[in-house]
Amino acid sequence: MRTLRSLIENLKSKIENFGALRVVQVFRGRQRGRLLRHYFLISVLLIAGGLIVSGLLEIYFRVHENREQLALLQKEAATVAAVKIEKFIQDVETSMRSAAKGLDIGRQTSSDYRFELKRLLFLAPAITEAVIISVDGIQQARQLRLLVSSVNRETNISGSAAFQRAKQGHSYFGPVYLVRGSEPYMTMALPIEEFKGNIVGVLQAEVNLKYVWDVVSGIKPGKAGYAYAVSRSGELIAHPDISLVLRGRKVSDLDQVWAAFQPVSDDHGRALTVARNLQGKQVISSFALVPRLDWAVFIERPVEEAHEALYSSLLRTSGLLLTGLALALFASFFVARRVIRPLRVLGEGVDRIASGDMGFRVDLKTGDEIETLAGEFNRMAGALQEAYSRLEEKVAERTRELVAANDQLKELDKLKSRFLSNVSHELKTPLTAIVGLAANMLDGITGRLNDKQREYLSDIRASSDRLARLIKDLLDLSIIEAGRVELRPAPFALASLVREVANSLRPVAEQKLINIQVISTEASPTVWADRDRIAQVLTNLIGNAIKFTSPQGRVMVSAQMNGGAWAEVTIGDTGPGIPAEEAERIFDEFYQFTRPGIESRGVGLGLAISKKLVEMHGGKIGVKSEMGKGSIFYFTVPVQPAMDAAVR
Amino acid sequence: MIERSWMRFRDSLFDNLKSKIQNRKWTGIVAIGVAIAMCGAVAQAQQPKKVYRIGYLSQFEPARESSRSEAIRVALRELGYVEGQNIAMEYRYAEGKPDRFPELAADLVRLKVDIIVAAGGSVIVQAAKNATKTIPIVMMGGGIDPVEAGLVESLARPGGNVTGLTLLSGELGGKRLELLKAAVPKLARVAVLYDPANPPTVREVKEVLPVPARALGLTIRSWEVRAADEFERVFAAVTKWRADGLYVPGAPLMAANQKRIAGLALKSRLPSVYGNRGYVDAGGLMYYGANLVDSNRRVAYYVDRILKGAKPADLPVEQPTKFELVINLNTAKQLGLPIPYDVLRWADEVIK
Repeated sequence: MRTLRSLIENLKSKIENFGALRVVQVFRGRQRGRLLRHYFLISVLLIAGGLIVSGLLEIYFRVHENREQLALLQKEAATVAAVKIEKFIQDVETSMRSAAKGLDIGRQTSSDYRFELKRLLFLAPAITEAVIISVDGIQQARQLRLLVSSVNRETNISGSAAFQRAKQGHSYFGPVYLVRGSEPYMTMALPIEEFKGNIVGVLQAEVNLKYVWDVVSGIKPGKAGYAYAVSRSGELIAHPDISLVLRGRKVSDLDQVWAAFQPVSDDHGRALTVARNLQGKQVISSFALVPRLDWAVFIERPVEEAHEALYSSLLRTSGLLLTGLALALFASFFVARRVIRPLRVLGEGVDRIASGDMGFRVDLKTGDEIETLAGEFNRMAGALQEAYSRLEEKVAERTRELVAANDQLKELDKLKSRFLSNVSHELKTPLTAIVGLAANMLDGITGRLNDKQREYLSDIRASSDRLARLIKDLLDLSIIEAGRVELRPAPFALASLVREVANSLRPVAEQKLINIQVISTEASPTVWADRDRIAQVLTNLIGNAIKFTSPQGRVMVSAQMNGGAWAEVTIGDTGPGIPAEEAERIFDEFYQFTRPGIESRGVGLGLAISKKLVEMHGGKIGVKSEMGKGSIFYFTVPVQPAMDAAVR
Repeated sequence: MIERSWMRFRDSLFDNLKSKIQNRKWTGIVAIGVAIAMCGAVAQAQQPKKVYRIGYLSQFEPARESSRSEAIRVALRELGYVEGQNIAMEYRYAEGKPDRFPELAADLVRLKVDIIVAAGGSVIVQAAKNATKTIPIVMMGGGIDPVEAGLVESLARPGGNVTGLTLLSGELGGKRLELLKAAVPKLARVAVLYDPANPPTVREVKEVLPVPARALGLTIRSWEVRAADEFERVFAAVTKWRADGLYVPGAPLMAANQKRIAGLALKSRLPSVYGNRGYVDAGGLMYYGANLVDSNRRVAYYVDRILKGAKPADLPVEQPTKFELVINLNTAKQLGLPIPYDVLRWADEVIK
């Protein structure tokens, strides 16, 4: 049973250490829960990854589309604005053209000229000054909106760019200039033709471009969008914030303005620019050129406003994404839990089996591989249980066999003891006869003996005595071993017994000049034992001590209490000592401890008998020895009638 | 691990919530918190925005000023400035007495108004400018070039605390004479009335007018008027001089006596042209100058920009872009003056 348990434990540890079965580890100790985490993370990664990727793609495309759409819209708005501004200039030009058509230089009076010019000023409020110039560059008529309309016939202006250009049959649009350092003006000129191709003069006008402000401030793309017009040289012609224009703000330092006038073939590529406006705010800027005037019209919207729709859509998308993620998290969490729970049940099953509950079966109905695994596991547990029970059966059988063999051995031992006692008994009778007869002969009953005969007879008697002792010992031992010795325990004073035995052996000791010391420290402990048997043990041990101690040595015997329940007797000598490897065996039957130079008598049963007797009392016997210094034998005797001692 | 901690978290959350809901103290705290938050919101909603004070310096008396000031008030309202809510108007009327300008301007400065609207010519602006170098002053159209008058450094960058509109009225004297001549072809002697205490008109009369007058072949003679009671005498002198035309440039004293001047001109049978539209409405013959329809809105624009933090020094002075010729045909009829078609056809407005 115990071996099987350890076998399973062993198996368990092997399984745990086996790399391929890491899954099992998941259910143990710190590893617990890692699989759940794994599953959870993987599913989160998969689902969240998918969601994020799709969300990002969506956002990317939306940003792209939004940009394109915005570019398209703004470009269109810029184009519309450009058309509107061009139309304003064109209207002025048309008015001038119609005035020019009504003029007939040379044939008309100056009042006719004035009429046309007044009409022009009336129709085109942006014109503040209109001049009719003859082909040779002399003013013919002049009308001013703010001043007295005087004609200056002295100055020849045939050198001016406006005149030159108009004389060649083209419309002239001059650069922007500021009147009183504040209001933007432009000079326009066109030819006066008698008929197509016959130029007879030039009509020149100064146009107040502040009127473009009306056009530009009417263009309001989006909430905060605005339009403005810039000339190539960077003058701000019109801006909803008229103060910028009146201040004569040059805007050529703006990136988008600079870029607009760069010759670029791919117009689409620069359709939409993010730039800073005059206030330093981030704007999305588009422009359209007015080629005739060499102006550019810009449409700008604050970046935040332009992207407002995009932002809200992004917000929506990310909101959905987050919700999806949260749902995915929950879902994967619960899925992971569903996967993990049966595994945990399985793990608990493993634990139960490992702790010896062989009958335990895992009950899992997941309908998937885990159920199959549980089935396999149950099958394995069944096989294990079967193997286990078979093993147990075998063990029981072996045990039975062992018990039988043991009984047999015991019987044999008994037989041996009986044999020994019989033999000893049978030996004793003839030996008694030999001893008696030899004694008689020595006593001279059979006549006088010569010295040789006496010597031999003495040897016979001595040997017979030894044999008798040996037989007695054998008989004792066999009686003890056969369990036929009955102890008759009674309280007695241990110290006095020790002294008694020591005294009885003192003559033998004195022959070898050995001193026996009896040390009794405590007031004689009273023990509960068979006095004769303890005397026998003492005799044996003290006798041995004397025997193995060289002449003039010492033997010390003491009796004292050892704990509350035991008295201890120690017998020390100054003999040669016993080697440690033999110390155990000296109590065996027939073991003879021999030392060179020391006469060995006896058959080596004394210590065996002593051991048996002490153990019958429930005590212990032993030896402590040091080579060359001596040995100390000790044994214990109960103070109180002990259960064991009493029964035996 | 996650599962367990999650469950623990969930349970604790529910328990917490439950106990908190059950706990009356907690609900009390919540209620108080909500109440405080609501109070805050209400307070914020009710908290009056800063009320700006706008000083309005008028050269007229309230009755004469009301149409213009009312128009400005409407224009301000369109920009979100409502009197009594986020603006407070402080009106000061000089009632046609230019010598009261400094005193009234000083009064507004004492009140620490945020802006002074100078409803009048350059003299009133100058008075305001003399009273403060810090409070922004918005001009409503002086007769003279504000640069020359020293009110601003330049039109593009006024540079001081004065900005607003200029009407270029003083520049148009020649044009007005030209138009008067066109209307009265046999015009030869033109009387010009001016207030010697009003530097812009003095300058116009003495320096600007003679050149175009010569170009038009006109003899002009200027007559000083120092007070309202002088008009009768001056007109008598003008008649004695045998003037056949009259030009009255804009000036506070004149403007304050529009009706009287127009009446006296008619009585004296003088075709007249004025630097102020009001004369024509009051019976004067002709007006040529800036179309003021937009100007009130522009004044509101300046007020708005300045209240929003723009520096008057950086706000360019705006010049008028639209000009109008207004002819009172009734007056012409009373004068027995046939206005030539070539003049009448280009009139932007004809009063019949």
